Amino acid sequence: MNPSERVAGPLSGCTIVEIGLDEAGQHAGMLLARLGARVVKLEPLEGEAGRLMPPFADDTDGRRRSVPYEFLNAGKDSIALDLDDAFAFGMLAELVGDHGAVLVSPKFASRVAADLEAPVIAAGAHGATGINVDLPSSPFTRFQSGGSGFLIPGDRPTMPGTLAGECFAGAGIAVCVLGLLLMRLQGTPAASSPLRADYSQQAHAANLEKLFVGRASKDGVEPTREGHRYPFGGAVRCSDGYVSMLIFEEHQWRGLCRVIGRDDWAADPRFKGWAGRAAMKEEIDSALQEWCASRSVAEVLRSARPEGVAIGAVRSPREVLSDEWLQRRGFIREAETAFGPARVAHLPFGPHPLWNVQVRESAPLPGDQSRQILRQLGYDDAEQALLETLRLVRYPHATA
Amino acid sequence: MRQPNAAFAPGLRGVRILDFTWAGAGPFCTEMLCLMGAEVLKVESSDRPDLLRISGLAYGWGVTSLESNPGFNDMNAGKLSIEIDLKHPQGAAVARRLALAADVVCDNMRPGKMEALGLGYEALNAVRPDVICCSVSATGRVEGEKPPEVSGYGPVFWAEGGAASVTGFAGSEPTYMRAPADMNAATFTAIGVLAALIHRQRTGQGCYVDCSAIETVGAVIGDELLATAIGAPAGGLRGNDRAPWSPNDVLPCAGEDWWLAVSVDSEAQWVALCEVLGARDLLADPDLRSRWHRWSRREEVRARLAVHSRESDVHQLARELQMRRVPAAVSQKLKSLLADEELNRRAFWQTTDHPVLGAQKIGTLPWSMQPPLPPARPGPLLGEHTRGALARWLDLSEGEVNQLVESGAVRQQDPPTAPAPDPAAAEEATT
Repeated sequence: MNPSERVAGPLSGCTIVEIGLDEAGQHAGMLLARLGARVVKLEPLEGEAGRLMPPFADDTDGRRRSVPYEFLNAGKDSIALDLDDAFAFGMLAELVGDHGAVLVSPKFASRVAADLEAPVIAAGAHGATGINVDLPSSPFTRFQSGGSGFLIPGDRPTMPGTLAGECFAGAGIAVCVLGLLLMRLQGTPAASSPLRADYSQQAHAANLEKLFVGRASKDGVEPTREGHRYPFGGAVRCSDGYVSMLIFEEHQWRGLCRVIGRDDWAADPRFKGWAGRAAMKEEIDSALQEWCASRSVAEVLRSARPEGVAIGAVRSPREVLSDEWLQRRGFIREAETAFGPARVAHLPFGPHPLWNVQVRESAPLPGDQSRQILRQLGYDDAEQALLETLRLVRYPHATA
Repeated sequence: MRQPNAAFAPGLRGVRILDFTWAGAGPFCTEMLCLMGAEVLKVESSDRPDLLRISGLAYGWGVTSLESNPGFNDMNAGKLSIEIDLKHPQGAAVARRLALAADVVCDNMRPGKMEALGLGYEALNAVRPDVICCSVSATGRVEGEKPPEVSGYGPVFWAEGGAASVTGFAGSEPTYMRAPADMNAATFTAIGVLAALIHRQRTGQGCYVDCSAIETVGAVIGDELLATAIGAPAGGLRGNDRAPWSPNDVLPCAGEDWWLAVSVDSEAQWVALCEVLGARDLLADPDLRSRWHRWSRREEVRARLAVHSRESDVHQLARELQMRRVPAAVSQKLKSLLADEELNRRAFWQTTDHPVLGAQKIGTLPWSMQPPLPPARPGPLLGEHTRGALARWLDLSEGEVNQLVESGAVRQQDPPTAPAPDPAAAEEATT
C-alpha cells in the first residue's frame, strides 16, 4: 500500500476520551484511533497500571516499555491528571466537542457530568451498574465468566493466547462507541436525553458462544469441552508443524477420503453423516495422523485444499507477519514503533483508501500531550505552571 | 438513508441492510446492527438454506425443519427474510434492485461470487456512489489477484491468523476456538460497517468493507505480533500462565466439571485465597506469600490448591473470594450463564416468541443504553417477509409482486415449516 494514499479516516474530527479502562477498553480506543479518531487518555499522574504489563522491551531511547501496552495504546494522546480532582472531569465537554464520546471505566463513570451532551460509554467486566459492578477481576476471570473459557478443548478450562479475550471484548466496545456516534449523527438528541451506554464484557463473552447458546436455552443441552472437540481432525501434526482441520459437510468428507487414499470410506455407510463419523473417530483420526505425519504442512495443504477440505496452517506470529498477502492488503504494515521499525497489525478491512489511516504506532508516555491539550483548552503558560504546582497535571518527562 | 423522524429516538433509524450472509460470521454482524435499530433484510433460499437452519440436522440434534433451529433464531433476531432464486433472471434483477435500495449490502460468500451476481461493490458503486458494501471472507481480496484458497471456518481462521499457536497448554497441541473466531470476525465487520456509515453520513460517500476473518484473528493477538516483530520474548503455548498473576488458573470444584477461575496478584489476595479454601498448609509456607515463589512453583501450587477446592461449591467459593477482593469467577457453563442474575437483570438475555420454537431466551447487545433500544424480536421464518419487503423497498404493486412469485423468481413461504433438505445442499459454505 502506498503511504502517500493514507487518509484521515472515517472518524477524522472525532475526539474520544478514555478514562481508567482495562485492556478491553484500551483495545477499543486503539481501534477507534486507527479509524481516524483523536483518542485522548486521561491518565493518573503516575501513569496507568497497564504500563507494567509484561513483556517489556527497550524503546529507541532506552526506556523500558510494556509491549502489550504499546499495542493497546498506539496512536493515542495522553494528558496526565489527578483523577481524584474535579478539574480532570471539568474539561470533558470541551475536549470531546460536538463529534466525540467518552469511554470510561465504571469506577469513574459517576464523575462524568450527567448533562454532558456527548455519548458516554461505561465499559467494565460486568458493566457500570448492578450487583457485580465492583467485583475484582483480571483478564482471565473476565474471560472465564463468559462461557468460552470453559469450552475451549483441553483438560481444563483455559484462555485464548495472549490478550485475545480482552481484545474480543474491546472490538465489541468499539461497536458500541461507533453505534452511539452514528445515532448522534443521525438525530439531534434533546439535551435532557444524552446517549449513555452500560457495556458488560461478560455479556459480550456470552455472545461468543452464540452458535451454541440457542441449544442450551431451548433444548436444555449443556455443551461440554469434550463435546466441543471435533471428533477427529482439529490440530493435526505434520512433519514440520500443525494443520487445523475440520470436516462439517459431506463434500469435505469425500474430499478428505480422496486425499488420504481412503475412497472406500466415502461410500461406507458406517462413516455417513456427522454422527457416523463421530462413532468412527478413532479410525479416522489414526489414518489422518499417519497421513499427515510424513508430510509437511505445505504438502498437506496443497493436497487437501483443492479437494475442498476445510484446513489451514497453524501459523506462528512470525509467519503471519511475513505473509505477503496480508501486507498487500494493508493489514500488516511497516511502521516506526517506539522500539524502532517493525511490522505491525492494522485494520482487517482491506485496501480501500478509507481504511488507510496514518497512525502513530507507539503509545504516549504519561502526559505526553498535557501541554498541547491544555493550550487547546485555553490555559496559558502561567496557568499551566500553576496546574503543575498544584499537582493537578503532569507534563512530559517530569518524574511523578 | 431514509430521513429520520424529527423527534430523536435512539437506534440506527432508517438504515437498510440487504443481508446475503449465512452461518456465523456474517449473520452475527447484521444481527448486532439489527438490534441497534437497522432494518435487515436477509436474502435466503430454501434450496440452499442458511447453514444454521440445517446444522442441527447435520449434527443429529433433532432439528426437524428449517424453522426449528434455536441457533438460527438466536443469530438472526429481528431480521426480515426474503426468498429469492438468484439463478432466475428476474430473481437476480430483484436482488440487484434491492441492493440499490439498500444502504449497506453484506455478504460472506467466497470472493468473486457477489461480483458474478452483479452485486459487487464496483457495479453497485457505479450506480450508487454512496452504497456501502461489506464482505467477510477468510482472506479478503486484493484487486487483480486470486485470493489464497482458505476455507471459511472459525478454527481455520484461528490457525491461519496465528492464534492457535499461542493457545493451549505447554507441551500440548495448539488449540482451536470454534464459535468465538466467527463471532469476533462478525464484531470487527460491524466496526467496519458502522465506521463506513459514519463516513457516509458526513460525506455522502460509500465504501467497501472487505473484512478478512483471518486478519480479525491477527488483530486480537496484535501484542504477540508486536512482541515477535521487535524480538521480545514470545508467548508460545502457556496455558493459563499470565504474569504477573500467580496463580492464574482454574481449580476443580465439587460436581461435574465445575471450575473456579482465580487470579492472585498481591500477598493479601494470596492469604485470602488460602483462608477461603482452608489451605493451612499453603498459608504456613512463608515463601509462597511472594509472587516470586508462587510463580516458580506454580504447578505445585495449583495441585495443592486443588486438593482444597475439590469438595467445595464453585459458586460459593467465587462469592467468598470476590468479597475478599480476589479476582475470581465461575468458569461458566452455558446453562448457568443463561441463569446468571446480572445478565438477566440487565436484559442481555431476552425472551422472544417465535412462531415455531415458542419462547426462547436469546443473547442481545452486550450493552444497555439510555434512551433504551426496542426489545429483541424473533428470527424470521424463511421467506416470511418476501411480499412486504418487495412492496416497501421497491414500491412494487401487488400485481407486480404476484408476477414475481408466479415466475418463481421469489417465494413467499407459508409458515410455519418446510421440510429440511439434505445437509449436503449446504456445500460451498463460506463460513
